[in-house]
Amino acid sequence: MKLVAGVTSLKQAQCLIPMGADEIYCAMSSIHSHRAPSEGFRDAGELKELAGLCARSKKPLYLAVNEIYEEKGYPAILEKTARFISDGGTGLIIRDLGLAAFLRGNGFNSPLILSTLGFCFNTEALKFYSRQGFSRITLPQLLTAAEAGGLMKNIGKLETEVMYSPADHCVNLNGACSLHDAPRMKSALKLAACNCALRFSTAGGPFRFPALSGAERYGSLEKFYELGAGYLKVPRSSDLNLTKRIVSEALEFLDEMRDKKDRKRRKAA
Amino acid sequence: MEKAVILSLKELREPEPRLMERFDRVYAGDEFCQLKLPTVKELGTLRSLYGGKITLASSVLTDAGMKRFRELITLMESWKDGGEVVVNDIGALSSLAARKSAGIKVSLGRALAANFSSFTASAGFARLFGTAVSSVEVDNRSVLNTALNSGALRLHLHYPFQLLAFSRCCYRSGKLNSSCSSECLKGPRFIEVRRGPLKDKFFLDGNAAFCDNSAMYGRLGGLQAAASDRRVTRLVLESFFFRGQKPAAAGTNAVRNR
Repeated sequence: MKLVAGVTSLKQAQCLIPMGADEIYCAMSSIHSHRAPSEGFRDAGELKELAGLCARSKKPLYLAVNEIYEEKGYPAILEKTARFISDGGTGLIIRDLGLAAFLRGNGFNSPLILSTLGFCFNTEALKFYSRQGFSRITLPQLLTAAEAGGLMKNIGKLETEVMYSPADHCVNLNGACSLHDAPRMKSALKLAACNCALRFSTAGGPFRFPALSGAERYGSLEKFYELGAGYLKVPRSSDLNLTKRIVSEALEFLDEMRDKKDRKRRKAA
Repeated sequence: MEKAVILSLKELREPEPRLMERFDRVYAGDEFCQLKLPTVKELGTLRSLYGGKITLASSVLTDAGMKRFRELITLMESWKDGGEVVVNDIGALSSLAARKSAGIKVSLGRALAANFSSFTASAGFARLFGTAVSSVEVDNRSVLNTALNSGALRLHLHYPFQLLAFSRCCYRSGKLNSSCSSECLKGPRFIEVRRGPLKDKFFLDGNAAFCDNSAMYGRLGGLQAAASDRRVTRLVLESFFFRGQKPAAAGTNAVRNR
């Protein structure tokens, strides 16, 4: 299993590649990517430098273009992403099926990764996305390894990627949650955690949105490793220290899993 | 225009024989929880009780959910008029499109319509699923605007709720759906979240949260005007609404305290 790290600046990549990231992904602020525009690269020159750094380090670089866009915007996206590829980028992370078809129909032959927002929950969905030209599928966070066993057996030539969920976990299905947009009572609360993490009240008592426990998430990751998921993804954050900490944790997890596998192999031998 | 009602799990298991005196169609299943899919037997009972106007509502589906879904589709294919399926899973949608099930109509569900967004109005959507999908379930302004632009799909308007979010963890038990013990059969279907840091109250049903969708009807000039729009072929109501009940009774302790 390889580690994919999201970056929001060249400086982040300069830190994370020596730490052990096997692959990098990023976004452009001019193409909506399901995050604040400030978490995308504004400067085309800096993005080109990032592509150069990744090429020299032999690390693939993917660009997140993972929203649904108006059809009339496809040509502009094609132009920008084609430039990204010619500058040394490897491929794109997308969820928009219309965009995927448009890109393929207009000579874009670089690899496409399905975003976790693509709702790939079962083998039929996996086969469908494979037919649409995706080479790797990022599985939804709320699909557990126990539920994905059949899907992982039918993977064929497709690669799979899972999120490093102990550090980043959405309570609700990412891509179908508008709680982030719900207006809060007081402006001061705008600085609080996202709405789904807040405490609410019902007539029967307090309420918080439930989530999988840390142990459940970690346990599921272990099983995904055993099932052969190829990539472990650490999401983007403009907080470099936080990103470094999470990448460190994820690398420790991978080391631990490799040791465990070696121990098992030695024991079997 | 058709008038449909969404059955709760309790109403699915104990169907009211005279329901169709007030409605043209029933929705069985759930758009957000695969464990609320009816069994083959339950769907057969509804069919014999209510006639052909049955819509099977389905959610995102794991492989286990797809297995149950396929069994239900096989049953529906044996019906003369096929019935209708609301689909919220891309695997289920592609499978139905490939299967070209005679007589089964496919409606794009609320979660998938919101996730597809403007894609439903694109030529790409028509190329992939155009002939399979005949309608879209609409509960909010954004999807309504897209659907009105697409022109090709009939609109099924939901009232009085729009989806706010959904999870695969049950909001009542706090557990992942796969370890369900049917908490939604206990107490009222909807739990009102009435006090909190958000401006508007919202409602919980199993693993989904909803809020009032009157803003969408404002866009259509009100409920009456919406009903007369020729693109709107169906109004889909929550069952508490026609019973003249409030969505949730006060004093419930069905939500696990946290």
